[in-house]
Amino acid sequence: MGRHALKWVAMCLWMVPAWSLAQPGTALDRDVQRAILLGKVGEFARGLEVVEAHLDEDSRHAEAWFMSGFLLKEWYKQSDNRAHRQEAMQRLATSLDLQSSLGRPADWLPQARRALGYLGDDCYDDAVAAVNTFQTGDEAKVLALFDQYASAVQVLKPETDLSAERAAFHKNMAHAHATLYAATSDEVHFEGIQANYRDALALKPDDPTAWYNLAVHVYNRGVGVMKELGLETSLGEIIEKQQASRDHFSEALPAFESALELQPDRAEILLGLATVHHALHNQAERDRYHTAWKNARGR
Amino acid sequence: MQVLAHMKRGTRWLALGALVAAFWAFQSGQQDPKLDTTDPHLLTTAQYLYHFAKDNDWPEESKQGPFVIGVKDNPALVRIFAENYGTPPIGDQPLRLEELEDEPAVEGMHIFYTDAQGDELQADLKRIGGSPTLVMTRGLEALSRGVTVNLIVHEGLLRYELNQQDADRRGVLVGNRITSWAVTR
Repeated sequence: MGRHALKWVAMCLWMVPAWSLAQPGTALDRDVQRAILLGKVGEFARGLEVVEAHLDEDSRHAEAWFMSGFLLKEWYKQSDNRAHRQEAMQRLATSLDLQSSLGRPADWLPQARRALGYLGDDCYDDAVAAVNTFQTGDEAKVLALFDQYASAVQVLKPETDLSAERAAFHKNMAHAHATLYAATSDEVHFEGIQANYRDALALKPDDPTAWYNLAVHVYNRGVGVMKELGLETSLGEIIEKQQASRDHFSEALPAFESALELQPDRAEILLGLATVHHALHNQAERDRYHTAWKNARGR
Repeated sequence: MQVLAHMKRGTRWLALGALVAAFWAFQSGQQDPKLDTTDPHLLTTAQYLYHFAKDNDWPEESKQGPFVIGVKDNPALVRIFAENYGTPPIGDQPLRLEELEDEPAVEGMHIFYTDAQGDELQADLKRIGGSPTLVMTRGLEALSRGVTVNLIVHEGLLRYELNQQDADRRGVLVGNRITSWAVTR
């Protein structure tokens, strides 16, 4: 609480004189000071009411959007209510957008940018935490958090390309699905592995690791199908399982080939290609890649 | 000055955040799954071996003692069979898997599996003669005399062709299921 109060004091010290200089004696100025005081004593809802009255009068009041967003940010920090965070981000973004459309600077802009950056980073941290504790059905939550982070970044640095970061999230979710698949053998997780690697590759097609990992998982699934054969398996089922595993092998092949295009000398990829060609009964190709693998290992 | 200090701190946090993100993203590249090097064709072959043992019938004199499957020069196949299916009994007979090398003794063997071709295969067939031993090969261009079952790639899948005459000559009664799933070229 002591640190919290200090932050508010710091904000008052910084903000209030700035507003006083910019708009001495305006109704908003007085209400901003009132809202800050209410925020300091934890009366966030009342503080918001005071500021929102100005938004009711003028929905394009950038400073009022900023102040209401800032209050929501502080409320979120105290309550950990993510709805407050989301609303705070939207209001801060609106304030920046409106001020930008006016084409003139404002003293509160750096505060607004920092507040939005802080909340965006907070979303990113939550997205990482959600991946690290990933469970079935968490994907939408992770992506929503990342989208919130991305929207903040787009406001603060519109030229930023987040493809690589988003792809990294998909790769990490693919890995999380792989861990769950190994533990449960639930087909949903195998589909999750594939879907996330494909999403990562749609964003970053020049990622050999994603191609390789996708290829290995799909290939291994094909072998896994054959490992399902047991003493009760009929001859007809042997044929069916072979066909199913062959479909996986056929799907793994182009993924291995894409990985090789990007990393032509990587031994693991060459071994993967030799293995998948063997599985597909392409013995000449298997031998070619096996030789290349041995050469690559020897380098 | 205060604003500048804020900005510097902000920049430091941004840089730290970027580093953490980069590390996390980098970590995601370190999670290469391990390629399963289990040979799927050996799994299929082991299944066929089991079915040929279980779904065919041998003459009465072969129904004493263990049911013996000899696998020549392919220890991986023996290992795969043992690891995945153990040694299930065949009818009333306990199953015995034997790993064979070079010029093995084949007497009393119910199934003899070999990857050999050409002269080596002919030498094996000569040793086996007309005994009630189902001879199983892989990838022969044509079914040789003396070979009962030959594994071939048919429409991309590992299937088998059956030499009914050879089975008859050896006194092995081929089961209906085995016959019905055989392919011809």
